[in-house]
Amino acid sequence: MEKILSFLRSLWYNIVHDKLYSIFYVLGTAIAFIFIIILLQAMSLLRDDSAPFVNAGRSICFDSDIYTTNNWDGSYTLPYNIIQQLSEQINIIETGYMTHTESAFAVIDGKVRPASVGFVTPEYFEVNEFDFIEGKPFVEIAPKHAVITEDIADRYYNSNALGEKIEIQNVEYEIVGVVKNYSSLSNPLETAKVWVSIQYNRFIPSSDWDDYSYVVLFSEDVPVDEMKATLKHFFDTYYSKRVKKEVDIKYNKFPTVQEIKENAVGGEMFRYGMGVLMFLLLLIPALNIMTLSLSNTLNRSQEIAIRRALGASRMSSFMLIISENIILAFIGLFVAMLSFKPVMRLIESMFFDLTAEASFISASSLDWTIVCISLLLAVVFAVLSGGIPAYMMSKKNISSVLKGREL
Amino acid sequence: MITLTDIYKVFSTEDMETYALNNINLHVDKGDFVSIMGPSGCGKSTLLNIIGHLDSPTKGKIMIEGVETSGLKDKELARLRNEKFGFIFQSFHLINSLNIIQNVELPLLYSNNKISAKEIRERAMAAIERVGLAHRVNHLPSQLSGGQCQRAAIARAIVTAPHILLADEPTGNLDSRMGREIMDLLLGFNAEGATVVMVTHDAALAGEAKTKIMMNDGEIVSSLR
Repeated sequence: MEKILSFLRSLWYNIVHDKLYSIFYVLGTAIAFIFIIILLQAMSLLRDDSAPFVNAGRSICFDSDIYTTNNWDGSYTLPYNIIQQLSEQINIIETGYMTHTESAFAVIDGKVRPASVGFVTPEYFEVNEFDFIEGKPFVEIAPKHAVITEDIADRYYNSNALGEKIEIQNVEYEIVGVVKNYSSLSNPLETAKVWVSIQYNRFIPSSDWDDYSYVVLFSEDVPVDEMKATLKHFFDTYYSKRVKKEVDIKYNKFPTVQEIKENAVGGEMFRYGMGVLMFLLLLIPALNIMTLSLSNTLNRSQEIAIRRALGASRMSSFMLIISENIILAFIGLFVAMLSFKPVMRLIESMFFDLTAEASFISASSLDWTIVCISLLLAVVFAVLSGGIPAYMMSKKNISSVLKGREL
Repeated sequence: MITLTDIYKVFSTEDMETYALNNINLHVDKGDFVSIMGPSGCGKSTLLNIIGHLDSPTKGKIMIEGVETSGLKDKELARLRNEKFGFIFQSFHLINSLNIIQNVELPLLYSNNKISAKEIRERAMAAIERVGLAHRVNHLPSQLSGGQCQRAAIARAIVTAPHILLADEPTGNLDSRMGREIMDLLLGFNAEGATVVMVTHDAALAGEAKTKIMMNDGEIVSSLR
């Protein structure tokens, strides 16, 4: 224990004594890790079980105009009850929903506010696991009810939204539920902050009367190929009966929600790109800080030589220097964890209308996996930035350093 | 106690080789007080560093208490330095970030023996009291005089009860009165059984040693008892 205390005492003294070095180290680490955390967060949101779209891997999305002819007139648009037909006829389908999003305007407290509105069937909240912080989802046969996100509730209703009114497309709704904010990167199809029943959709301002999406949830453990083959077979048969000729709908008309997510950011190349970016974000600042670390270590060469003369091994001298770097890296990481949301919010506000649409990344919280990975990367960063100076220092000849010859 | 056989230390550059130590053969008995004198650059400090394993010879054999040390790994050498030797340097070499008691405790913290925190503190205090610095335990080295710093360095050197004390010009940066006090401390430790090897320029102090070695150009030219 005394050894550890002495070790920590020495570490802390050196960190506080050389303030300029410590500040540069912490700032450099913080800046690097803000962007590393953003990348980790993005990669986490792209997982097929990222909340609230936790069933992305077993949900297939298709459009209402899955089959069209050259003289497209909308006559083959799928009916509203197609989900019901699918659920009744295919036993590996659990449920499904319809959805349509409008970049509309909402009237709140007499004022017009922009809002991305999702017109959905009630099964939307069964398939997607939104975190209701207040109230509950609406049911179709109910009066005109709405669900809103937390930031709409905070911004316009003083966090007291339940029972309040919101008007969309000249229809007034009562707010029955408030959900936690979510990030649109977890599902690029979804940007809504307000949800109301699809039966009230008047397609304002888009006028896309037939532009619905359907999402069908399959049972667990059904392979993706089987999901697609099942839907393809169903719709080939369905349309063949309608058009009275053989129909062959392509597989790519039935992507999973997860595939849509990944394709929206560039597919597999996105992950490789993220990996390369992360590597560069670690390496370049670490190499820059290594030059500072080298200078700092040289200033301490006498102290290290004295410790070695008194019985410290090369390894313990090495660990002394690396431990300082690790502590500074952890402080930088802590600063980055506090700063990444405001920084991400700033970046998002330059490209998106955050008052109307769901944020890209900043709404999501850091989970423990990202914290643990970041801690590990901070250790890697510390070793990269301090390993070579520490190694060089621990290898020096004791007597030469004490004489002042080898610095 | 200490046996050096055919020791060479060669510093090589592109142009030439310098023999800092040239075929040194030396034996130091247990309990002896050895002084090493010679002109600047004759290899005195190099010899002391090699005895203390702060540097390694280019060639030759070193035996410490009957154990040959040439094949030892870094950890074993660190342990040897910690357990067998106490170092006293001309420039004191105290760590400025630690106060006196923390400096003196340092060798005990690197010890492989399990020593409790209480015992570490007690032994450090005993060493500090021995050198007459009990009233300065919480001061930093920068707050002490040269003589006090050297006494703190001596306390650090004796705290592990080493068998061998190596002193490289321990009075070099001190006035004659302080130097006398330091020498008295070293003679006291020797009287208690410690083996002392001291490098010095001061002929008067060197004359008080039991064995007086003269060096020149990397060689031992005389050894008087």
